[in-house]
Amino acid sequence: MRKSDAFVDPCDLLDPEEGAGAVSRLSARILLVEDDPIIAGAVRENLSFDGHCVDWVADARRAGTAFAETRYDLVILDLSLPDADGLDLLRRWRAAERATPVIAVTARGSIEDRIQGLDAGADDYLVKPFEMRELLARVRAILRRPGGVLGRLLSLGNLELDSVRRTLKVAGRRINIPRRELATLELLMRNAQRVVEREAAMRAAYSADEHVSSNVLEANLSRLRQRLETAGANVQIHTIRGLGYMLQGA
Amino acid sequence: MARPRSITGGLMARIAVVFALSPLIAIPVLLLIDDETPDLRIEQDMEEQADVLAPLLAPDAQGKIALPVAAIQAKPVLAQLRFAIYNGGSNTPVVRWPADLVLHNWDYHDSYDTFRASRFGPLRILFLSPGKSAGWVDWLEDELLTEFFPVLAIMLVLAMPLTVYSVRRSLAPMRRVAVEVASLEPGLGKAKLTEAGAPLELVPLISAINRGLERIETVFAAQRHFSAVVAHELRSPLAALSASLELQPVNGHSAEIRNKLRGMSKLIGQLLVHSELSSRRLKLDRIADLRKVVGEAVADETPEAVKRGVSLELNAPEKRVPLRGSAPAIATAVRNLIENAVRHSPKHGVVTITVGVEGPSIEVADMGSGIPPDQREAVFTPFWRGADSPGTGLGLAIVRQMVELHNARITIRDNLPVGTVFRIVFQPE
Repeated sequence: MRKSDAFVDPCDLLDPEEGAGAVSRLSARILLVEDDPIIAGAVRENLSFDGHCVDWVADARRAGTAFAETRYDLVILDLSLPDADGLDLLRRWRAAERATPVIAVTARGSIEDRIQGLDAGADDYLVKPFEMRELLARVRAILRRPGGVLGRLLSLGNLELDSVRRTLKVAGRRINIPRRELATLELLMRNAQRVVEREAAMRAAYSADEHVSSNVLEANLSRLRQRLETAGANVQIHTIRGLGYMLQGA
Repeated sequence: MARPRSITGGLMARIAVVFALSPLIAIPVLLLIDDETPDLRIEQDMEEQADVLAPLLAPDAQGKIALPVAAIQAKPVLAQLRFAIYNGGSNTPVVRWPADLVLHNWDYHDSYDTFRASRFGPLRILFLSPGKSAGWVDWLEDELLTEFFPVLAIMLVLAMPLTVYSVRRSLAPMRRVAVEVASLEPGLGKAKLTEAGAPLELVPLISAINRGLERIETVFAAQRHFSAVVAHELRSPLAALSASLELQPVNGHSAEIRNKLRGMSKLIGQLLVHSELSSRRLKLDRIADLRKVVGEAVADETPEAVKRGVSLELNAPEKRVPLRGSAPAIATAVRNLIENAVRHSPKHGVVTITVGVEGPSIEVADMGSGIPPDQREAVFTPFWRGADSPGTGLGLAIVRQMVELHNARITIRDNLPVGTVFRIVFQPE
């Protein structure tokens, strides 16, 4: 946990008029809907340390108002609220065609609940009690999507990838990297700590009409590994044979 | 199992028996309602015989009435009678049959007089009682054979198809009920049979089934509600506890508490899955792709495996492996198997997950210390702890629940050179 006396609330740095999706920002505006003040406090503090601005509301009514008035980059929504079922709220938002990503949080979390949550339009689903690391990882994963707040500048360990300028820095030094390897790395970084299936990696690096065997992809990955290692990167690409790859930070 | 008895067949057999026995019932009834007394009937017979007899009488050489012996003997019914024929008002018979017939006074009590026109003018024919047996037999033959049996036969021919038709028709609502019952899924909240439109006789059965279903539904709902409340009531404070712990500086003590909290929330999660699978409210009639389900489970378990220095390997066919069942339940079970395998693997060990098209099947093979044959059944028991097993004690019990829900089979065998292979074979789709 990073703690600093000179902590500045990221919300103060955000221009209130500036909408979500502004590519240049590195901090996201997040709506937290959670009725337990202890959990809300912890989530808010952790997300703030991660550089995000968090608005906290404790019930569905205020959540609806806040959601209507402000363009959020992400909503963290507890499904059991004192005044309504969070799933209904979520369905209403989706019916109104608001595509803002939503992470549903619930203490229920049965096998079928999870499907219901995802069907209602949640982008991710987290069961209480969750670990803060887990929540932060999922928040980052969603914000790292193309078009997300963190979608342009991706970072993991000592890697920094600018997905618009198509550049890679390792420990601050610019590294030359072929186009295909960069595309593969970008996909892996957007999905850090999660398995990227072979087919997805294939699609990222090669166009649909290029018929390549899995050996070619494997060779591409092994050159990328070599390059990162030579450059002194502190990340690791794991191979899950038969399934895909996973990038892990230091 | 014995072949179930058919209502149609039973009814038809019973109707046939009733028809066969009906003459026995019919005879006394006919006797009762028939206005012909035995005497009258005999008289009727005599009348008939007189009609037969009169034309046979012919004059002899002297022009007198002669008895046509040959003609009478040719008719046994006539020959067995005793009679005398008188000419007009004469008191002396002109003809007797048999020829030696002697008329006593008492004979007249049982006699039947009748007059017939003949070429000799009106003749009086006196029959002495012929005894009753001949009349009975004749009557029975007459009534039953010529009148009763044909009607009976026609009714029987009409009754059989009518029986089949009416049984089929009146049991049709039963079939509708059967279709409804077959589509019931207890625990899914839609368990109720339609009472409207059912015939009167079926309503008690349907409402009894509905009352039973309601009670089952109540139990399911109570269990679901209980699980949901338990989940919420246990997890919420645990979440608050865990959240406030995250705000504390990390030291050995808080790491220990965090570890315990992690174990506890894992156990609560497994308990809920276990009770969810016991309540059988999963939707099992969907098509799942085993390749996709297992692939996702392997992906889910990869971070933990990597953390423990264990590699996962997936062997799966390129094509879909369709299967009827609950994808989330299968995924949960496969995750538990992989988690179990990873926990029992040495560092740098490999856990191999294989999806087989034939079966279809799943195999999870580890390089751990193996499970002795005499413990292979016990490992599926909830909270059974093998040699210092570090899990929640429910992971493999949940696997077995999923296997049973899907009518699948699970076996354990040794991996070569070391370790264990769990193999699940599903029903083919």
